Amino acid sequence: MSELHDIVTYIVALNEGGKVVGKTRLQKMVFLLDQCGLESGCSYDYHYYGPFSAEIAEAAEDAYHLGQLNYEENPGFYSVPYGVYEIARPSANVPETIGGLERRTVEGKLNLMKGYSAIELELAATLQYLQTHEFKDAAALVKELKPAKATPERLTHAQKLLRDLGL
Amino acid sequence: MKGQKQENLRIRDPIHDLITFDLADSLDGLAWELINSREFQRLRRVKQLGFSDFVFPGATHTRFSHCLGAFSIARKLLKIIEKKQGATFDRSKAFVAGIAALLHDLGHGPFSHVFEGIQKELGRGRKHEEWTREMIEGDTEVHSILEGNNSGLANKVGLLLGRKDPADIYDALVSSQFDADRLDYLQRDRYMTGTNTGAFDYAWLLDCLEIGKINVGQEGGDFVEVDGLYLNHKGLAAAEGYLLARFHLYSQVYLHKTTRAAELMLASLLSRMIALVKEGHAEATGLHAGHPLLRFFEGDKSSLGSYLDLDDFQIWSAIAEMAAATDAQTRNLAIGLHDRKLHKCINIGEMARRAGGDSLVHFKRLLKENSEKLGANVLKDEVSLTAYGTHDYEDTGALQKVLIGLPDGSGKIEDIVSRSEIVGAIKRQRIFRVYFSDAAERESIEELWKEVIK
Repeated sequence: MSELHDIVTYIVALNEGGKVVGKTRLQKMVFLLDQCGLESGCSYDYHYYGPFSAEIAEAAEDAYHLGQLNYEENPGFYSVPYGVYEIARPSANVPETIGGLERRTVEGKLNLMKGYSAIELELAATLQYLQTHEFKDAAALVKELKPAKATPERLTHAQKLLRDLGL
Repeated sequence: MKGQKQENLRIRDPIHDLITFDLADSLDGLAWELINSREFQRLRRVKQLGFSDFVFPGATHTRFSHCLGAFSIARKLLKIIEKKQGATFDRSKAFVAGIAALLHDLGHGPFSHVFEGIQKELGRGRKHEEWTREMIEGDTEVHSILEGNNSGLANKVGLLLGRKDPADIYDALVSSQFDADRLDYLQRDRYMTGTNTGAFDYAWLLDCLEIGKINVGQEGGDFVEVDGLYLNHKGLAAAEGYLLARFHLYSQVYLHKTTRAAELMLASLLSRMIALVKEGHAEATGLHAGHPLLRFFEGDKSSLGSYLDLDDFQIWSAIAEMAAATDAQTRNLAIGLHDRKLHKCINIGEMARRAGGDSLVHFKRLLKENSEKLGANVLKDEVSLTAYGTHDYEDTGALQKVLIGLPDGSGKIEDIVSRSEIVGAIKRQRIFRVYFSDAAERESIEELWKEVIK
């Protein structure tokens, strides 16, 4: 079984361009992959942007200290920084199996996520989190929890992503 | 209010002096009714800082006084918002936000974060926010009072508290860098612990608050725009003081090594108690049958009723009973907590920072591999500290930052980190401590570290 910092490194390596723009995006990607059977072993709480695992954040930092990932912060609106993770060694060997999923399955799922904005991933992950926590009408609750972000268009996109991921 | 003379009621508070309630005012009147509910009164029996009085004997203040303080600040913030918004001020939303500020900590249990951790371990991870919502929307006195005031009010207050991600300026009152919760606890915890660091210019800070449209999202990407709070350029020094105050309280008080030792020991004690009960050895815990703590962990899901029965007094009574347990691990932990004979620690995080490279990752791996050999008394504490508190793992968007207006009259605002060299200089610290109960355990931990740096 791979350690969590290896799993996070493989996910970054298999994502478009060998990088992930945004810590929030990385969190939601690992969460959604976990829902698809990744079995990373992470536990999630509900935070500002939906499901969040401190273990993923620590693992990404471990991967950085181990020289597996590069990390830099870029200025966003009002100079508020957002993080970018990039694979440190482009030739990094990604095994055929990552956690409970085959490598090609992970690649396929990441490919599905790439066309979605960080806010749409946040909405999809929040919907999925609420559904797995036995909330009956998760979509209605997401609209109430995130009224500014959950526009009908974004919510439709988020629901489509979940369907495409097989969730 | 039924049967009560319409008058001003007063509460004397060490931070806000007089907190008055004008019973003829709809917000104050409802707040007073809620304060007198069974669930709110329970907060008198839940200390705000858990074990911190082991280090700071004065820190025995409760969630009750903190919630009253947060309500007092919320009213001040609402006045500021009303003044700035003029005719567009939404009284109905302001009313909901004021009540939400009063009730924001209603669901806190005794030694809250320890309890949340244990519930998570059991796979029934419910945080205090979820209990708060259940108390507001479930079969409780608070719920009856809210619904008696206005049908649907309980749901509105519950939703606002569950939202976390602020959607408008009224949400900012309970979830933002300048929310009523933070503005109260930073002052109250400093005062009650007696620490002389962590002061900030509260009145000046409030006077510099402005409302503006804040973009949430990344440059060039998908984003939304919501009303949020920021400070005008005159608030820069006060904002620096505010963030430094928080940073110092976290490093000096909330994450104090001795307080954390007690928290880890209680978590370990509760884990052991649950394991014994599961194995059918409840009698070995030393707890009498039917103790509220046993009732809470019974079955697959804890009920609201059993949660409401828990408070600091119940935990201390359980610790006293467990100090006579037949199970040695339970007994030793309970005696340690009861008599303040706490585990000591080695600050591996600091040693790793000096050693540099990937030494911490290697140590963590060794610790994990040797966990069985080291035994149940060796406990780990891992947390990251930043200028904004203990969580900076996600890209906290603009709404979770302290934003400052530029002095050039352009109307532009920026994250304080890019405007203040002092705040910008606060780097993320990774705290990693390993606790032990005797010299042999200490030696084993030191051996592991030697292996890392050899």
